[in-house]
Amino acid sequence: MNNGNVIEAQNLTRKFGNFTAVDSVTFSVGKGEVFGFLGANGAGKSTTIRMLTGILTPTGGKGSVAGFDIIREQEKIRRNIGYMSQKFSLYEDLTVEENLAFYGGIYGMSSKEMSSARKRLYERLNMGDIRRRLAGSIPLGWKQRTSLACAIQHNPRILFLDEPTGGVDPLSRRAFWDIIYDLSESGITVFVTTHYMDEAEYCGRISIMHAGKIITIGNPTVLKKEYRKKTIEDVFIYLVSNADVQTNQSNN
Amino acid sequence: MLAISLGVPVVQLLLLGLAVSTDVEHVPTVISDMDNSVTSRSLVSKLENTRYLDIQYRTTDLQEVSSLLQEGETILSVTIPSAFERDIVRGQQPRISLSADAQNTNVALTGAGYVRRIILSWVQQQTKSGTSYISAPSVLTNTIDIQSRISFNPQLKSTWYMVPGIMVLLVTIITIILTAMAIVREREIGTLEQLMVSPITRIEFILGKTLPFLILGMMELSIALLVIRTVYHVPIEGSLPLFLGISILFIFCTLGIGIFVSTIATTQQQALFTAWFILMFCILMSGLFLPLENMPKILYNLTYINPLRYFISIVRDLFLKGAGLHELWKNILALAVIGFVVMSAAITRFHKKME
Ligand SMILES: Nc1ncnc2c1ncn2[C@@H]1O[C@H](COP(=O)(O)OP(=O)(O)OP(=O)(O)O)[C@@H](O)[C@H]1O
Ligand SMILES: [Mg+2]
Repeated sequence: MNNGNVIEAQNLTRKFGNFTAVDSVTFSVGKGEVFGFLGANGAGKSTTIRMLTGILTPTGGKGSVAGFDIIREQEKIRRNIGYMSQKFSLYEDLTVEENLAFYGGIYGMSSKEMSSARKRLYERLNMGDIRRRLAGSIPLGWKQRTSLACAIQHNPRILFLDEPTGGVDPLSRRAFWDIIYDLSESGITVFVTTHYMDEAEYCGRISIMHAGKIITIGNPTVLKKEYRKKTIEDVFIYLVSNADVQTNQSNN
Repeated sequence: MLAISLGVPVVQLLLLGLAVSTDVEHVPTVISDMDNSVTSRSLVSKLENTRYLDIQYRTTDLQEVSSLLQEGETILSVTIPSAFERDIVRGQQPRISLSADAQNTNVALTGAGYVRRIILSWVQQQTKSGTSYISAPSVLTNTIDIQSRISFNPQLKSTWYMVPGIMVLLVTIITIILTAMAIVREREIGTLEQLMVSPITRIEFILGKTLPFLILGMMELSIALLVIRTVYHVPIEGSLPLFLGISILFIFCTLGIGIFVSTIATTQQQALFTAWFILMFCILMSGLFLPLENMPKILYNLTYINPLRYFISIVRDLFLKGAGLHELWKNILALAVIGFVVMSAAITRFHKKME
């Protein structure tokens, strides 16, 4: 691991046939950072996360997570990370508590560890009321918290969140980001993808991805200054339309 | 869900058991011509020249005949007695004995019927052509006495032959489809992706996904056994523990097929479609509805990779003939090999990966 970076990607590339979903991206994330991974639909955010978490093999480049190689040491990576996939993957016919117990068991937690972790999480995520409800029957905002609880109960050092706030109301989103801050303060590195531009403002650093390429990377405030825009949304639109113009020109 | 997966097969068992019948040709037959006279040879050649029978063996060793029947090498045996020609000449009814392995009642009875008809038509021919010593057509039916003996399924119950097969079929369908669907469902709802990033191992995952269906399959089988004993009174001549043991081996094969299907399919529809395709093959090539003997060579060779073929044969022999390890070991070995190959292929194909 170099200079305290817990996530590193170097020219990371993934092709599906002729189509390049992720095109030689390079970035690094330091310990305790909240790193926002921005991009429109289909930009390649999920594909990048899947390569970092070891469930998709890169077709080019390399990377490491928690100091372990993403191609050769996937199993070691798995013990150090939490992952919340884009779909809020819960077993809908199990209760919230049963879901937690199931995922806890998979991470080899003892029932003692699990019950103390649960107590902590119910309090921190304010979800005591729903623990006996079926995961399929609770509102999306609560599903989202339950998935987060499942992803962090085994105390991972690095947390990967793939569009954790997709489809959730603004109030729940705000509450969710408060929790992310909390986690980051306790030393957990958070890698979070989103296409909500307002959420980008909450991140320590962001990268903007477009058509498989990272087109800019940096602190939101610095980026706004650099491009002389008021919001990250404006920066995003400016950069993406520029990138499109460039691709069109090079095509012609 | 549990009620449905256990209840529906029982209903199917009751319906299907009554609704099966098939066409028969090329019934495997052994002929023993003890007389070896001009007359008896003429009858034998008549029996040979028909597509209804397939004369696979000719022997005068009655010991061999009974072992051929016992081992299921042939379904019919026709024995022409030693003084056949002489008795006909003297007007004494010679007795042709006809034995049938009536496990598969349909084939055995139809086959026996063919033999009767062929013999009668031969007698008729002999009378007409005047080459024989048989003079008056009126004595036609009395010329030869055909004595039939139906063994192994003395009450001639076709259901006895079909029902255990159907029981096996239901277990096959349930275990293959449920396993494939369960894994693909997790892929669809996204929990599989969540599990892939966890430290759970492939083997742990596969065990977790198959063990419940092994248990369900065995429960299914026990209920079906109860039904076939109480409703159809099918005998279980062989060892029940041996049967249950072999059943576990068989379900191991079907679970392997289920996992394999799940590695090919990305949606539940695809999984269901693929599973049905494989099931269709297994069922049609199992010898349950269509006798394997009638199949073209290429198709017949394909049946060697079908676990259902071996298990149905095992179940019939064990239930109706009381076969034990000594008779069944070849089929058991075949099941073990198929199970091992299928499971290895499935596990190799199943990766903790998304591609
Ligand atoms: N298994 C796959 N096979 C073929 N193409 C794929 C595969 N997975 C992703 N893609 C394609 O790669 C591109 C990037 O997909 P990805 O899911 O990484 O985007 P994303 O940035 O996460 O988008 P979203 O915001 O919609 O989640 C898309 O065009 C997608 O269709
Ligand atoms: Mg995505």
